[in-house]
Amino acid sequence: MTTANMAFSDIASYLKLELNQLLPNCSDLVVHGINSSVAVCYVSGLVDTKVLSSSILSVLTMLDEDEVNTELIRQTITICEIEREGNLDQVALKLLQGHVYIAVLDEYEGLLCNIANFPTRAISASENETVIFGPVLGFNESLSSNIAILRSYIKDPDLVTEPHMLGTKMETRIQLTYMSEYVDQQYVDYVKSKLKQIKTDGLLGNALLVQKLQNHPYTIFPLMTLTERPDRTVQALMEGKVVIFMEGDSHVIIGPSSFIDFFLSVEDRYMSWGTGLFIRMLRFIGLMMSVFLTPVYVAALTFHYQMIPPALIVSLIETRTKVPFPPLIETLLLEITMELLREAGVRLPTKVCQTIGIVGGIVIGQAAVQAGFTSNILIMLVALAALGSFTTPNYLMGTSIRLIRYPMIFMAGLWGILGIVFVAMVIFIHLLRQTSLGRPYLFPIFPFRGKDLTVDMLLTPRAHYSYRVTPTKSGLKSNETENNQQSDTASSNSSSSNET
Amino acid sequence: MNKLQIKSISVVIMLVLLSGCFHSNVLERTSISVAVGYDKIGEGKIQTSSVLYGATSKEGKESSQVITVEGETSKGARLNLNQKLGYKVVSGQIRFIAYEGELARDGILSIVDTLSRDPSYGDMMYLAVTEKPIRDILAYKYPNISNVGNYLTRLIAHNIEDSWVPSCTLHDFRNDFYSAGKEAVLPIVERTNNEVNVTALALFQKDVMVGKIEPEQAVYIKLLLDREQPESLEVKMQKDGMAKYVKNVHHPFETIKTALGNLGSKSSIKLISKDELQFDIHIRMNVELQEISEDYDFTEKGAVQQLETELSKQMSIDLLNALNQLKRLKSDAVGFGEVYRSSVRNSRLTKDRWQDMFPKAKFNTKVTVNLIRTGTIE
Repeated sequence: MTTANMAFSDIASYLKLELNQLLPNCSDLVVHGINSSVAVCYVSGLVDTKVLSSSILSVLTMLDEDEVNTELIRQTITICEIEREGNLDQVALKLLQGHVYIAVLDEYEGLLCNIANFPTRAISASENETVIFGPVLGFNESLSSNIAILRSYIKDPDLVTEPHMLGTKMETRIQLTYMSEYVDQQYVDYVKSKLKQIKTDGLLGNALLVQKLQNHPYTIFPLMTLTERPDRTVQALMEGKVVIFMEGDSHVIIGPSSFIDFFLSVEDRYMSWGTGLFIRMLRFIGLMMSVFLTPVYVAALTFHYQMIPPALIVSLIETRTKVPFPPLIETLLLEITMELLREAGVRLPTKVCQTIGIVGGIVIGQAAVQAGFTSNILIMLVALAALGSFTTPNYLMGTSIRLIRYPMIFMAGLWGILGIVFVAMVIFIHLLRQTSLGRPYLFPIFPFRGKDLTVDMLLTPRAHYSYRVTPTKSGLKSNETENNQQSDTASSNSSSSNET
Repeated sequence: MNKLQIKSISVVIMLVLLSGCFHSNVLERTSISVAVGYDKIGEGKIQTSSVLYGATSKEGKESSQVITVEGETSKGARLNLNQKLGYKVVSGQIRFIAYEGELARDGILSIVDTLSRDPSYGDMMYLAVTEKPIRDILAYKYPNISNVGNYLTRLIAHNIEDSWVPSCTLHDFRNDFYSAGKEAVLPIVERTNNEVNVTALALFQKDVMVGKIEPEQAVYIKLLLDREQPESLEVKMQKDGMAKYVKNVHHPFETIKTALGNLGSKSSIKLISKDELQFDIHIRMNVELQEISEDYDFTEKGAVQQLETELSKQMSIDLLNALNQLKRLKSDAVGFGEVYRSSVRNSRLTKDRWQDMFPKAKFNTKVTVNLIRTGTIE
């Protein structure tokens, strides 16, 4: 650099020239000459301007132009992360990560100071997974602050955070996190080997990473939990699960997950076992209703009039005689209307959303029946089924549940109850074949582990004290209640709060 | 194309093509029959009356429609039924089937057999017998009954549950018909003006109706037969030993009438002697007194015990009368034959043999009444 430097009287114009070649169309690159011998460059927006002006610029302007050198600057400015770098290619890369480069005339190496401050949103309450009771804090899009939140819960050296880079272009930063003492190493190995295989430019969010981590690319069920709640994440870590954080995504991946996990909410644990169990059961009833209610209606009306109780048959005949369509078409029509309403409600701005409610309530509900479009009973059943699918705490699973209703309705219209059984069997076989990080997806049910099932479902008082009742070894039971009793009480605020 | 694609395409083709073969019964495009009655009209001709759910009425009330056709067989009659209706007749909702008495006296097996052969009929539908033509019962316009088919079903069902009618489903009838030592009983249903009621029990030999038994005696048969027990029964006895406990006699009386609520009973039938065909029948009952015709003084010492003994005595006489009535008609509705068959080794009992043996049977009846509550403060 020394030789080249000679041609320019001030370092700023030299740096500008060189960096413009490395980062050709980078309009937000700033090269600022303090004086003829010192220059500062950075990418605007990526650095913390407060720190920049208070800790760097103000110091640099104080220094005498003739006596300045990098060692002096290093000692004067008050930034911790400083390194020397002479290679401009490296410098260019670092600038894009939010570093500030300080170059001094006649010196080969400049200084790289890390004062990165990527635009991010403040930590706020989790919006998609709301709870009535319990901590409301949610993760945000910043990886470092997410890890910080996690560390505020678990202050233990066992907490491993392994950095990985994903993608050739976007260089997405992800962190593989687990409790080294509790985790089953095979899950960690599985994730690492999968991460190595991923060939992509970069991933926009953790939802995409989940799809890359699962074995069966065509499944419609989410095979790993996505959550933005720290308490849920901590609980998973204490259970010996693997958690993956991604820079730029407020959701973290928890794995392995089983089918039942998607119907449990952290909130359940905060309640007494009785109410918790009641609410869990309610959700499973909701699941059954949303999957089977309308198909059974179609089947009963098309094929199995024998099943209908005599008290109901009269009112059914009465409403049905006005309807011009066969039950299959009638049901599909109404179900799709329901989905349209829901989709419209999601896409529209919040202020217009109320209109959707009115359209749905009055037009669809009242007018459809009066116009002889559908029967009253079906409207009630479709509403109940929709209500049932809303109770699933996990959004992705809720969507999957909505989807499997349609083949079921269709087959019920073709084959009756036999068709429902047929589709249910296909789905069940499909679920049996899935694995999450190598563990069977239907875990406590198949392979059957009665103890886990009771702890999962019944929320026995023991489940409050120990997280590790759920097994870590796939299929093998490991129950180390006593070992982690201590760390539990020390580290998890969430569990101790519910005992009081 | 790989194997998986061929497989999945063939599944789709199968779904589409094979589904066409499946026969559907869309609810509002069927004529749903809820009750059927068979009348005999002339030699070998059967008149079938069927109660169907009618076209919807504006008030949303249950309505019904009764169609009557003739045919050589019950199945033939049903085929003829279709000629009179806009939609195909389906029989999966039939819960009540009645036979005219005359038909029942000729034997109803052929019709019962058709019912059990057709899987669309339920096994749990009730069978009954009528004395007058069934058409009169089913086709009559009742002012208070909107659908007589459903009404009859409810009538029989609640009488089985609470009263003296023994279970009379198709399943029971067939079971009794094929068992060596038991005969079927069916309720007799009659219409009097604007009401329908269960009047008596029809007794059968195989599939032929041989006589009937009145409700007063039918109660005892029900006590011996079923898990469900009559809720209450009436007993009428001579005043005899009880006269001294009656206060305030306003008018002369010979008998005391009581109504008892049944709180639970146990019955046992034992074969005492297989040569003399002697049976010991013992019923133990816990009862509460619901009504008594005279002003009986329960406070007096020994009054309750006296009533208990008198009740027991009278009831064992009534029980014996009921059983003798069965013996007279040669219809073993209680199933003594089954007791005999299970008590005697290598009995090789057949229906015909038991019919000859049954009239020779001797019964020792005993009823133990335990009066738990009298309903008054003692």
